[in-house]
Amino acid sequence: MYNVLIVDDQRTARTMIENIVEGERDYNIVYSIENAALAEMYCMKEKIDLVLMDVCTAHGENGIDAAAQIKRKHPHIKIIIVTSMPEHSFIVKSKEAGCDSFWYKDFGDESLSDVMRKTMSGQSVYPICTPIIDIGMANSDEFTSREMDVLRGLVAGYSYREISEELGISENTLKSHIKNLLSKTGYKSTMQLAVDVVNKKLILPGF
Amino acid sequence: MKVYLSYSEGVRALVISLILLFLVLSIVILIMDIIKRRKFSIIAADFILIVIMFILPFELELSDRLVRAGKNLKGFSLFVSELPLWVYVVAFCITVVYFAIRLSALRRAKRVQITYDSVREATDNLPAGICYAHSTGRLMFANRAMYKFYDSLCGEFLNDAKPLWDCGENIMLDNGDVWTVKSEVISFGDLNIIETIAFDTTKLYNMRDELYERNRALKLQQERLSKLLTNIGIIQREEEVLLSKVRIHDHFGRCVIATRRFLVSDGNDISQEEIIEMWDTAVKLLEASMYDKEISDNDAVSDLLEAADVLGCKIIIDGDVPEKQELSYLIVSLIRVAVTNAYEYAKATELYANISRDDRYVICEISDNGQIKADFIREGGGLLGIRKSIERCGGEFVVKCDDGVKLMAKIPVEDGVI
Repeated sequence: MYNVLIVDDQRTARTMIENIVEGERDYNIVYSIENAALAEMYCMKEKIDLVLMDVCTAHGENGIDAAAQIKRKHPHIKIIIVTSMPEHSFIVKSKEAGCDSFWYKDFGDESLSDVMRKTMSGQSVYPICTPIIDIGMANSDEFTSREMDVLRGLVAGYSYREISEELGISENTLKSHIKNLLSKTGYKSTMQLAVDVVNKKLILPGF
Repeated sequence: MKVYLSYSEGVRALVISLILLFLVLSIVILIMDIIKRRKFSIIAADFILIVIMFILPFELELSDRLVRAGKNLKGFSLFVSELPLWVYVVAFCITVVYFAIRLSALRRAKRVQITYDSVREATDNLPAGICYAHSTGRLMFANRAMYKFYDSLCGEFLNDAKPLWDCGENIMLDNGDVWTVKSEVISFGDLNIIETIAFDTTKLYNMRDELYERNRALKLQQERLSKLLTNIGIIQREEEVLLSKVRIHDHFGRCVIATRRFLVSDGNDISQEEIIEMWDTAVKLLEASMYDKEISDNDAVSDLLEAADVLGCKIIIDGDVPEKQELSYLIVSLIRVAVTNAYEYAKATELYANISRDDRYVICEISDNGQIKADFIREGGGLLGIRKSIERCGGEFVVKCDDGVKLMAKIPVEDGVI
């Protein structure tokens, strides 16, 4: 029997995940909480085998950061990142944090039960890519990695100078990337672009 | 072969005149070379040429007069008078070439040499004003632009540089032009010379104003964007809740269809237990959806206290957790990291957080009843992260290890709001 900790700030989503876990014979829900930052404390108290971790949790706490902290102190605990956000960087960040698997609530081909089973048997289950989203006239997979970095800076509300300093490029290069982004999407301003990117959850400010 | 004295008087007079002409030219060039302090070899060459030019006509004229007086020539006079004319022609050509080369060199030197006039001409063409003066203010040098600027500034001719030093760095003239004036002392041994440079920064000033306005507009735009993104975040959460409710609705739909199947088939297609389980799940989901609402900041503290209780380390807070979100987040994060460490490393069962404030800072001091006393704490992920967050907002974070571990955070309060 595997002890499970569920972290999700939305009660409905959490209850649905609880139902899925309860439906499986080998799993026992020990705690179900809404704040990722507190997950480590619950892992210290009980023997937890599996954590189902949402990314955007209560009080703006980042589930991937919390997962990384848990993995540092309790490397034996399996962690599955569970999210409905198609955010571009989540998969990469989850891998870097040492999370075992990744499951999209709305986009996944596999059920959560299957992902849990594979993860507990030692497999690492990750989607091949993030869901493709329409941003204006372009698909999200048309953006280069550098353009995504630029978009992230725009969405965070940084000035051109701050973004260029952060990325280590000149302002002219930055403007060239922005021009390309606007050209691909067909938007007339960075404001329109940033709003659509956030609205479609391709990039989430603060995560 | 014809010798010098065998030529007519006219030819001899021409030879003498040419030699005298080149003698004068040689003297002029020698004087210029001495003034310009040219190389010794050049001056020596000029000097030898003058000596030759001086002796030659003298000897030729002397020999001419001696011959006409019917006397015999001897020595050097005989030698020069017996030289064939072509020797003089060749010597003349060589001298002409020499003078041509020297004159060309002199012209080239004039072009590249720095003189007072060339300095003045160059500085007068500069858009910036330049002035050199003694420390008493007595003028040594100033260019045209500086005279013009001084006239616009003081309404008088530039004689004393002191007003330039006292007029401030950026000056707006009556005509609206903006000038920047900078002075610097240059020392040559005991002599102090003050260099003053004034340059027209009107365009820069206007552009700075324009840039300031643009930055202000950009900042407003960023603030609008930030607010918009926050609103979008809220809308997204609401969308997620809505999506969950759609799922609940679907689940209810499946329950109704299953119940109908159960009633129609009289329990043959689907069992009563399955129906009850489905309805049980539906009720749970419905109940959960009622709690999906925005969580207040205080809940972060309640959640932390509850988690600490579960962990077995009670948190006792003395003072009020700030209401401002950023401050509250930092304090709660600090207490969370502290309780995690106190439980893990010191087996503490109680953690004391004292929160106080003054006009400028919120101060949070944390201690615990841990059994293990440490002399030194190596700051890992949690404490290091907190330290960075506190220091990033201009605060101070101290870890003391005397008589148990104590943490102290001093976080600045913006606008006195906590």
